Amino acid sequence: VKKIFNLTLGVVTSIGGFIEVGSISTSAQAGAEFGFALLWAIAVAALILAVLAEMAGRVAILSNRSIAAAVRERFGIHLQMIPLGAELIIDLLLLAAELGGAAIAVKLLTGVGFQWWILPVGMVVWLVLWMGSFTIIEDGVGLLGIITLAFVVSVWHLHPDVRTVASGFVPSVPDHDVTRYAFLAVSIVGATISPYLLNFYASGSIEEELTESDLWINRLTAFLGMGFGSIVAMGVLVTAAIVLGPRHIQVDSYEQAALMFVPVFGSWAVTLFALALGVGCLGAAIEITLNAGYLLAQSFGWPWGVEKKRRDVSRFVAAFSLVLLLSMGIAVSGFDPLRMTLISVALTVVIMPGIVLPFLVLMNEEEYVKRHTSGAIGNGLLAALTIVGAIMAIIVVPLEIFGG
Amino acid sequence: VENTPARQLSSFRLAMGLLTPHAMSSSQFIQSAFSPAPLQTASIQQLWSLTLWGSVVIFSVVVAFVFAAVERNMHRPSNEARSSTSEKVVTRSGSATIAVTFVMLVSLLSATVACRSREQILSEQEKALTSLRATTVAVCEAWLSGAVSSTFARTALQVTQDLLQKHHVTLTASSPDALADPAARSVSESENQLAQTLALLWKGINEGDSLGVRRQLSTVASDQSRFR
Repeated sequence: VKKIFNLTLGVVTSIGGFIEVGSISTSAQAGAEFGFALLWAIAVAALILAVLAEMAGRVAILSNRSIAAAVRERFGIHLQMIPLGAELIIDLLLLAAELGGAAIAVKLLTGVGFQWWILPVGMVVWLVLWMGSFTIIEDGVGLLGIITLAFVVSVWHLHPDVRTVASGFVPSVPDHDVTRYAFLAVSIVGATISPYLLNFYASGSIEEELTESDLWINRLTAFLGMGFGSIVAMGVLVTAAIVLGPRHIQVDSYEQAALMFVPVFGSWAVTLFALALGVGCLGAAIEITLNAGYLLAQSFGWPWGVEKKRRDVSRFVAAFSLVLLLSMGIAVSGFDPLRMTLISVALTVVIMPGIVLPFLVLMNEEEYVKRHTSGAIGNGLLAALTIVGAIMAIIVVPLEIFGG
Repeated sequence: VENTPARQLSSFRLAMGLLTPHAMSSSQFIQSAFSPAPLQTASIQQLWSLTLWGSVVIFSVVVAFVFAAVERNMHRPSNEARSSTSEKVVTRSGSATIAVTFVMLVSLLSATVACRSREQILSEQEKALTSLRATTVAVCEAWLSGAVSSTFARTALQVTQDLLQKHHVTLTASSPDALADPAARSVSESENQLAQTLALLWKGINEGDSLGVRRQLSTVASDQSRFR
């Protein structure tokens, strides 16, 4: 029964993927501008993320190595430096954006400029990581994440036409603003499949001490967890499509996005939206900070783990503290969190083939996954993802610059 | 057969028509002082798109071959896998080619997406203006019904004002003669009008003057229905 509670690892990971500053804004923009037409992008992103998370968990459980450690061991430190550098830059930018997102949530409630809240939010993140164990972090964020179900409740109250909603799962080319449509589709996928999620998920499986007999839990955690996140993200899109779309409100700020709750929750609308945004961003910020520590420690062979005494993993603690401090500096300097998310989404998509290719190798070597190597379907999916990732990498930069 | 300019143009149109059947529909392209060569520019655009997407397909095929080669290399025994000098040269050349193709594609796509017409910029401005008007109406209606606090309403109107300012700068800075176009001038005037209304609404909400807010709101709402 205890191991069933490990499902919260999937929920926490999915909060980082689907319910954070970038994903909420892109889903709301997609819904407000194109109705239900981009639901398929969330579904595709959820499927890809679940497959990759399951594989990352499988490698971690069977080899007791996280993705960063396995890639370093298999390909050497020289090749590892490329994804390490790219992932660290993305982590820095994303963390700054998430801190900004959590600060914007406080601003929605208080009216005080968001830059003033970045230092307190950063301190909260650091204190949680300094004082909490992995289980406390996981269960705490997982439980708080339930507030994000407000997006699903709002869909329930708005009674959308099921057939019209279902039609959004079939990709179609819109009759207007094709560039914007493509930009939002790529942004949804890029904002969801962040590389840090995979390493965080794999490291979490090691912290949870899962064994070969728990592989089914890993599979369940990956698919149910990402299912939770994707349903909430779809809730954001559908609510925005029903409430904001007909009024011709495009989402260029979180104040506009908060209006989507007004018809359903009345005077609780802004509070609920701010709480959902705040919890999502705080959860994602904790996840990214922790992952930066994991990544550096695993790449350079330092001891790591939130379950261990802090003095035994001093370099790991110093690494995540430094990354958090740098991100707080970037966020305080006045960068727009939405703009930072766009840059990190573009970078994520550009390095996606570089993240997926090592997976393809690791998932076929018995040294890492024993007899649980990938079959034709798994390899085919990864190969397709590599090619699609390469194409997306080409189109993402111009789309991000001009389509956004 | 004499190769007259008329015949050359006819051949060119035929070639373009074969490549892009829709480009030849004359009803889509109306010649005017603002667009003296609609058919030719449309043909060039189609040819450009053809080059771009052709390159994307070629790039995808190259990536697929590279992937296949990597996959084959993975299954070779380790002593065979050590690359010889010639293999290293091939690997480097392949990597360089992919990098060059990648840069070319990104440049092509950037150029394609960046080249927006004045009409497109104006259309985006009108859409943004409609959205900001709708936001203003939604925020004020929510405040009047008690669904949102004065603090939130003021913050939301302030953010709307900032966004409006950004759009206004984009419109006026797009080209030196941007406001010479009557349509652009009309959008610019509407933006100025909304900015003034936003200031009055902010003041009304700050002072709790719901009557004044209602009065201003009716102006915005009528503008919204007129422009939609």
